[in-house]
Amino acid sequence: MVDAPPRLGPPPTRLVLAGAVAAAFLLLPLVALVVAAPWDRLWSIVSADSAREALWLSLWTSTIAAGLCLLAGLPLAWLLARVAFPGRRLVRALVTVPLVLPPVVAGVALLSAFGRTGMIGQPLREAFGTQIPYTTVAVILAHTFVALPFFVLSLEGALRATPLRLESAAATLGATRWTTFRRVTLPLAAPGLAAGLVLAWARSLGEFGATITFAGNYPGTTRTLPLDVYTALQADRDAAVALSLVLLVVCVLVLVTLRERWWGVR
Amino acid sequence: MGRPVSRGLAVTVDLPRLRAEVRVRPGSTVAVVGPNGAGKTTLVEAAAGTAPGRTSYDGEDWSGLPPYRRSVGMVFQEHLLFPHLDARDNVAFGLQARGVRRHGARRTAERWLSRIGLPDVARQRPAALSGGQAQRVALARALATQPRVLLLDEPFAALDVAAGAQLRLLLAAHLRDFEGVTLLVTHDAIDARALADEVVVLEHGTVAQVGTPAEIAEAPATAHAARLLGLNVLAAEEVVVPGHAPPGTLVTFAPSAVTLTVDEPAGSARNRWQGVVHTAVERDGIVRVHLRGAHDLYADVTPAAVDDLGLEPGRAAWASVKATEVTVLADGPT
Repeated sequence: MVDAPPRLGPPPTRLVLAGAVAAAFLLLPLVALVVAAPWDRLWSIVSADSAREALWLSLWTSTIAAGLCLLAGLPLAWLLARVAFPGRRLVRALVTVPLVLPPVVAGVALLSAFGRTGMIGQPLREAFGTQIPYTTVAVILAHTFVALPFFVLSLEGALRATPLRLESAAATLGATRWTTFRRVTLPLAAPGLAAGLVLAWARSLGEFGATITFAGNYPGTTRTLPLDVYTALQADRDAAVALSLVLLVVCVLVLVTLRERWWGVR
Repeated sequence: MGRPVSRGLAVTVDLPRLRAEVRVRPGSTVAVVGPNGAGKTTLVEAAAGTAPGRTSYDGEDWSGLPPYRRSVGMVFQEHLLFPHLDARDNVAFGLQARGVRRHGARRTAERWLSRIGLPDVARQRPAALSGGQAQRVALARALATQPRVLLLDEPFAALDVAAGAQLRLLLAAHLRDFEGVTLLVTHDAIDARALADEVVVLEHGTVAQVGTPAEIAEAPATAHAARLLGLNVLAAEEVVVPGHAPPGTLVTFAPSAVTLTVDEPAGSARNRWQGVVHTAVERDGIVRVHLRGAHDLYADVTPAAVDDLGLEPGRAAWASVKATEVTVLADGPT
């Protein structure tokens, strides 16, 4: 229950106006997108093979990327939240870098690591003959790279919010740290974990810059829906608007299904 | 003596802000009392293994062991039940953590919930329990693994009077035939007097006094100990109190509120008892007289009064206290 705010008089007009302008600025382009949509051709554009292929590719690569975030990001978030290892602040700072890095730079960085002559790419190619750039694997890696910081930071916050005293109680009851993690920390951080996963998934779904740089724009293997929007924009603006609308609807659907979890009673 | 191995629990903390050693004999309860910030909690945390310190039990060195490898059960000031588990799974948690299968652990947990008088809350989450119920479940959770060391860190502090009294009764019943050791942190005279065999007074980061509750009440080494353990505690039936006090209630009054006379008092004091002076100990210009009769009573009087009345051990005297000086402490069991 939230207490009623104290009565301090009406809010100042200038703050209300400036706030309304900001809200309108965020909302108007979305409204314009809906208005500008070619409603008569919408279904044929959206149900075209290329669009369905791109949507499907986006959905499943983003889901795998979110899964990789869970596998790799959960232990990292726990370490950052619970273990005072040397260099923890540095590691946390490094985790934040991809958050502010321009995605195209992320793509170039990934190429430097996994490209034909990259630090990891070259030995990988020589040993197994595998190539990562310009494949669907590259799409997943690009998605994971940009989404992981979102996941780790939001989960670390959730882990820090679970009371340490409960973990002390678990320890006195005979629970090892692993048991405590599994049976106390993780269930209590579950809402934060779910929010982190959605955030990572949504960030993956919208990924453009790193993907086109590192994975290219090949229909069927690396052309995700954002790349398809960009490609369509060169030739057929209406198609780009229609495909954008699809992305918008997916995002709104995600927000609606998770609204309880995300901005429920906190 | 010269036994190489000490039985029971020994906890030593050696920090800049706390240098103290506490020993608890098998089957006994030691209450750690002292003002806030004296390091009481640090001491039990050292025993639990969550704070630095040296601990041994029956000669077994626990010092390097993490909490989960020690045979301890701990009850905290806040119940610290796991909010995502129901009461039964909270009680079963320790058993499961120690390898008991879920089904068996739950059956044992249900027996514990019956034993603490709460068989009906098994499937309720802590948020649905009252403060007193939650703390009783927390006690059951701590006891369910049958620890050799029971650590109680101000378990009554967050409870209202009735809930505290109920938990105290439950605990006293358990401690009567508990073979392990109990370390109880409290700031409450009633807890120390009702539950502890021995009291350790912690003050300014060191042990100021060790003794039985009666010993400390008779000759408290510090002002805090005097205030804490000096209170007279009687059952309500034996005292005239202001207002109503149901049977089973405990009442207290301060030693300074007690008047001592040689002859039966004729004044307005409603409560009067005859007894024999057992001890008279002076500290800081006040003499604490321990009067033994139907009840053990403590009175603080001036040295001049002691001289005037001739209050030396063996002397018969009357203690009286006005009903308005009596405080009703706790409701009995419901």
